[in-house]
Amino acid sequence: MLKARVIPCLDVQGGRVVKGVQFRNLRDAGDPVLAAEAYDAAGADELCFLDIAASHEARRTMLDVVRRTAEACFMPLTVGGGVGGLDDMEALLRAGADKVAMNSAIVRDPSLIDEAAARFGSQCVVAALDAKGLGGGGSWELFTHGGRRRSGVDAVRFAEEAVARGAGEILLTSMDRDGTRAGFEIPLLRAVSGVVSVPVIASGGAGRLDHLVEAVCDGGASAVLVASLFHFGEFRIDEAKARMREAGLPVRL
Amino acid sequence: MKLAILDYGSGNLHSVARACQKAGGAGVKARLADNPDLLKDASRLLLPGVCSFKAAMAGLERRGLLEALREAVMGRALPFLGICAGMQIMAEEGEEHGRHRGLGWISGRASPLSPKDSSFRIPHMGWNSLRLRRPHCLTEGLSGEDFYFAHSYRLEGAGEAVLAESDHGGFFAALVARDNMAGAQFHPEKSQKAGLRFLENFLRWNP
Repeated sequence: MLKARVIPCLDVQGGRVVKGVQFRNLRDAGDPVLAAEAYDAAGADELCFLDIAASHEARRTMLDVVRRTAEACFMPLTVGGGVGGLDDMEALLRAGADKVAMNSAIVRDPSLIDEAAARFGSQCVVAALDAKGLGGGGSWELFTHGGRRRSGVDAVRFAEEAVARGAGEILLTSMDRDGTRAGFEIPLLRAVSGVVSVPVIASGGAGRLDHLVEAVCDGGASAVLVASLFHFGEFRIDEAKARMREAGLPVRL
Repeated sequence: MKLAILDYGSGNLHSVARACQKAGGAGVKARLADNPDLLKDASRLLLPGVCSFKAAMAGLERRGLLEALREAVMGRALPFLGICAGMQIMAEEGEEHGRHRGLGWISGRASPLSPKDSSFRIPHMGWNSLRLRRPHCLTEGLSGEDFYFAHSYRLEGAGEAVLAESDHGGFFAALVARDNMAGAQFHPEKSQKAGLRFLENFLRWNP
C-alpha cells in the first residue's frame, strides 16, 4: 500500500538554509547538505529545496548544493524556485534532482509543461501553485514571483490544466495559511485534489501534528510539505509519522 | 567487478552510480557507458530508467547500445538489472506514446497503471511495500521494507518471472527475474537503506 509522504522543505539562498534548522549534533545548521543528511537519517520520505534567490549566480550555487546532496542522500529530491525553462530544468536534473517544481514560468507559459513532460517525463514535472483566496471564499487566485505578483488565473482551473498538459504532481501552497501555523487550508486542498488525478502535496500552515493528518484525511493530499514544524526541533519526523499512523494513515516508519 | 551503467541520455545517472558504489564498496568499479566499446570488459550491467519506454529504446538504438546489450546479456549471460523504464523495456512491447517493440526478454507488455478506483492517484509516486512471490537472492535480507516508486506504466503479463508485486488499487509487478536478468519497477537508488541492500544483493548475485 502506498504511504502518505512527509517532506521537509528547506529554503535556500546563496547556498545557505534561510530559516534555521535546529538539529542536535548538526554542526552547521545553515549548510543545506548537512541538513539534508540529517533529514535523510531521520526518516524523511523525500526532500524539497526551494531556491528563494533567483539570480544567475545563486542558481549556480544551487546546482552545487543539489550535486552535493545527491551524493550524500539516496532519497528523492525536488528542487524549485526561479526555474525559468527547460534548460534550468535539465541542469537541475543532471545535478541530481529527481523532480523540478515550476511556478511563475508555467503560469506565464503553460505549454512549458507539455515540453517538460515530453522531454523528461511527467514524473519529474511538479506544478508549484501559490494560491490566495478571493473574497467570498471558494475560489483562489494564483500568485507568481514568490507570491509577489497576481496572475489573475484561477488556481483550481489552472491545476486541472497543468495536469492535462502533463504535470505529474501538484505542490499546492496556501498563501493565506503560510507561516500562520493555523493548519492547512482544507477547502483549497479539497478543491484541487478533487479535480486532478495526480498526487497533491499540501503546503502552508502546519502548526501541529494533527494538521498533517487533516491534510491527508480531509484535504485529499498524498503528501505534506513541512518546514518550521521540524526545523526548530519542535517535532521529529518519527513523531509526525507515529501520529499519522495512530490516525489510521499508512506511513513508512 | 566492473559494473557498466548504460547511459542512453536519460538524465541523472550519477545517483545510480553513487548508490551502486556505496552498496558494493571498494570492490566495485561503476562507470557510465555511452557507447558499445565500454560494455566489452564489463562483468555486470545496469540499465537505469528515468524516461519513457520509447525514449529508452530509441536512446539505446541511437548510441549503438542495443546490440551490445543483447550480446552481453543473451550472449555472455552477464547479470543484468533494469530499473523503472529500464525494467519495462525488457518486455515484448510498450504502449507509452504509441506501440513500441521492447527487448522481448520477459513476456508481457508495459501498459498504463489502471487502479480499480479513482482514489488511487497516477503517477504511482512514493513509498510502497513488496509482496514477495518466491525467495530469491535479490530479496535476501529484505522483508516488509518500502521502496520508492515513480511511474504511470507497469509490466503486465510477466507470468512466472514476477518475483514481487506491489499494490496500488490492484497488484502489479514490482520485481521480475529470469535467468541472469532482473528488473525493478522501483528506484533502489532512491530507496535509502532498503535500496542499498537490494543493490548490494544484485552486485553479489551469481545467476
